[in-house]
Amino acid sequence: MISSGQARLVAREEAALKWMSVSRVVKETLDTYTIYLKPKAGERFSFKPGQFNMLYAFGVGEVPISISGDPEDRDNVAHTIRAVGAVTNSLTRLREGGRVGVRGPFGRGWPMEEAMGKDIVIVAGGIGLAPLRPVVYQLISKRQDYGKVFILYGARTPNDLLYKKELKSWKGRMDMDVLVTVDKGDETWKGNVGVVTMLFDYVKLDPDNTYAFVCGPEIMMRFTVINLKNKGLPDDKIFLSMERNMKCGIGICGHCQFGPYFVCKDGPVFRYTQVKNFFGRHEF
Amino acid sequence: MSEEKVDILTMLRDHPFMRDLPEKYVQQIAEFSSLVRFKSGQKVFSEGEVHMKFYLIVYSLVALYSEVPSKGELRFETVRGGEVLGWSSLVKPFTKTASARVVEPTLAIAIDSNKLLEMMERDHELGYYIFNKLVQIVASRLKAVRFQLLDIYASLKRGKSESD
Amino acid sequence: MSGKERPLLINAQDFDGLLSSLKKLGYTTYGPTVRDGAVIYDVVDSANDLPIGIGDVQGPGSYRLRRREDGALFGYVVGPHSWKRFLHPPTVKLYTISSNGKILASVENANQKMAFLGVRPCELQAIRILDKVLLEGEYPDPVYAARRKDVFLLAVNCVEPGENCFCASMGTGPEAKEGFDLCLTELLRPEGHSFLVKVGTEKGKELISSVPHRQANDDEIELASKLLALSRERMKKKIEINGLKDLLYRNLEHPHWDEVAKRCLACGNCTMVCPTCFCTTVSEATDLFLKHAERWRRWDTCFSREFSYIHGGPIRYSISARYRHWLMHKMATWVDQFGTPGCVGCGRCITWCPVGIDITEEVKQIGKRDGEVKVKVE
Repeated sequence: MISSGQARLVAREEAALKWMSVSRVVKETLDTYTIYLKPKAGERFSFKPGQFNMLYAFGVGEVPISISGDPEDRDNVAHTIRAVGAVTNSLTRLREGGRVGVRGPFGRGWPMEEAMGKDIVIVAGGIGLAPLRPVVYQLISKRQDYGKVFILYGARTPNDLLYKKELKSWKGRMDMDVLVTVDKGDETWKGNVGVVTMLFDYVKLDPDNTYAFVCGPEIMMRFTVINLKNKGLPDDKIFLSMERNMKCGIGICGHCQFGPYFVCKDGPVFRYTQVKNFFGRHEF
Repeated sequence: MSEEKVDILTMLRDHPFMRDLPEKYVQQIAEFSSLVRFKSGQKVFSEGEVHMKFYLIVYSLVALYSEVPSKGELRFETVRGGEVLGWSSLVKPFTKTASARVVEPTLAIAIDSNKLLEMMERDHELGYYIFNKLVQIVASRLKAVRFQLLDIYASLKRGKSESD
Repeated sequence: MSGKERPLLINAQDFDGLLSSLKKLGYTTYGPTVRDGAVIYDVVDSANDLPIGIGDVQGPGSYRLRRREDGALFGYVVGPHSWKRFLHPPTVKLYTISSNGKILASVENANQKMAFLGVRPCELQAIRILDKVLLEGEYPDPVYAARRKDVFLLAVNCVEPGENCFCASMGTGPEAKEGFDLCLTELLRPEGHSFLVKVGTEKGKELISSVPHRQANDDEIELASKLLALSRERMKKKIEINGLKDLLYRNLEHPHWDEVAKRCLACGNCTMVCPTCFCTTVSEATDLFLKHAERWRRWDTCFSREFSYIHGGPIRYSISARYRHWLMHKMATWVDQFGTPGCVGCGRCITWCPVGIDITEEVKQIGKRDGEVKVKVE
């Protein structure tokens, strides 16, 4: 029984709205920007790969955006934002010195600890590479803690690829396999053309020793899961980052209800076994 | 046997498309196969033409594309080492459904499709093997095309939401 | 409090005494009162504000008040309001933010004390459920926490079930077992109008000692339990709760979702009147000069298309999927998420549905045709 006197009033620090200022803006594609935010003087920001922040544009509103920067860089908080609505349009118009309200970090991220010592295959589609970039940063800085690393990345066209500079430098590394493909190529594109799942033909995964981290549009994740299972990966080694409407980020507004979960606090990263009964189900 | 023939025989045996084919067939096919080297930028064949060569790619990258007015070459698929190019030379009406352009210097085994078809006609065991393999390839491309058709990265309808 | 102590008895005219004692203790007293043809919850100053001698007649999509033959204070069941409107208000200002960067988080008056009078057993369970969702998660909602901190719960058992009630099958009524400070059972006898009182907490004990009372005798105790047993028997609606979760989980593609959707207007009434529906959205209001922005939270409904919107469109664009989402949450996913169903059997969603969609009937339909899968006809 809950007696009425037991109410806890302590709000956790990350749940409070605070300002950060824009330190750098990188245009990634025609409509997608990476905004680097600086915490207030004397403050630093830590997060786990796969977590997100609620970003607030003054007078417009708030949206959940995954953190796309280096977890070790605690002075620059990166968010890769695609301008698709009022708030994201407003956020992507910000330039150096601009102010953004931040609540977070929220949610469960990728199983970086559980996957230690194992091979990791990262499968990303479109802007889905954003919540996975912190994973890559961490894998590079703690390279000896993990086995083989594969990055399979697909986007619509060469112009839609994020982080072109990083992709190039990751490709140059001998200690990971980076494969990129686009759905539609042009005359200047020197790489693979085809859907991201096609890239599975070009890598050899060890199904008993591999963790898969997947993020992209839901359909892309569905096809990816099928391919991973065909490769023999067990369901409990497959992780997906889900997207649902969110208003609060802290599990009280109900918008991101997904089966018995709130995507904001039980996810956004889920083990496939947690969601397989609902994942991909029509209008669920 | 010339040195090139020996090379071709080895490469044929190693190529995933031929891997389970009985040795007698591999040797016969080698008789009407040749090695071809393509430079990057080279066109292998054009949409609409009849090009009776079936290529087993040994290494590197060839793009399939359609010429789209005002957009140039729209590349929708690439094939690389271990894959095949030109399946339509083995299936009526033999006309190419896309053009092929070499992206990176490429080595391929070119099989004379007319001769292969004759051989398949004479020997249905071989015919079954080749068509079985072809169907797998065509099916996986069909799946990929369906996935591509969904155009998943572009499902944007602007102005529908008040807040995001 | 063990609850095993012998119940007490107070006379109906002393109910007012309870009310004034609560006020003396600093509580704002909220209770049922008649407005616009319905029993709603609002501030009540005395027993005279209660719907004395008023009953209600409910059906799917229908609600009427009626005059009773007696002077019962609690002779009706539940109306369109529930206690969530005080614990989790329909609109709340979260922040006032100035263009100069000042952020003012709206601080609720942490010292407010609220007494809820006439809380039905199903509503006690609804409050427990809201506690679970809004108070006991990783991030307690500060608004709810502030309002929930000092609430006096004066419960009233339901000796007469409403036509849409199904609390007995949900295990939440008609008798309150726990979670109250005081719990009354209204006794209307020729020899007088009184309440049998169960004490749930020390607070309750203190309050009852402020009015004249005595120990209830065996007859009175027996009468109360008889009335409640009768009430349970008379309850017409029920839901088979055993195996319900699994039934729903395995019938996500059942044709009945579409059949309900043909009637459902997606108006969201059921979610507004539901005592446990907690969903909210946030909107931004600015002044014309863009000097100040306010962030307001208001109740939202999963029946709107916008509710599930992500860029590209809503996840649940059909009404069928939205009804399924709501019912699945209430009866199945809620259990896995919070340990109990999200439904307490109060019947409000049936009464206030403009087309009379009846959750007990819809669940029955799915159970009857377990395993049927919808066929898409183009």
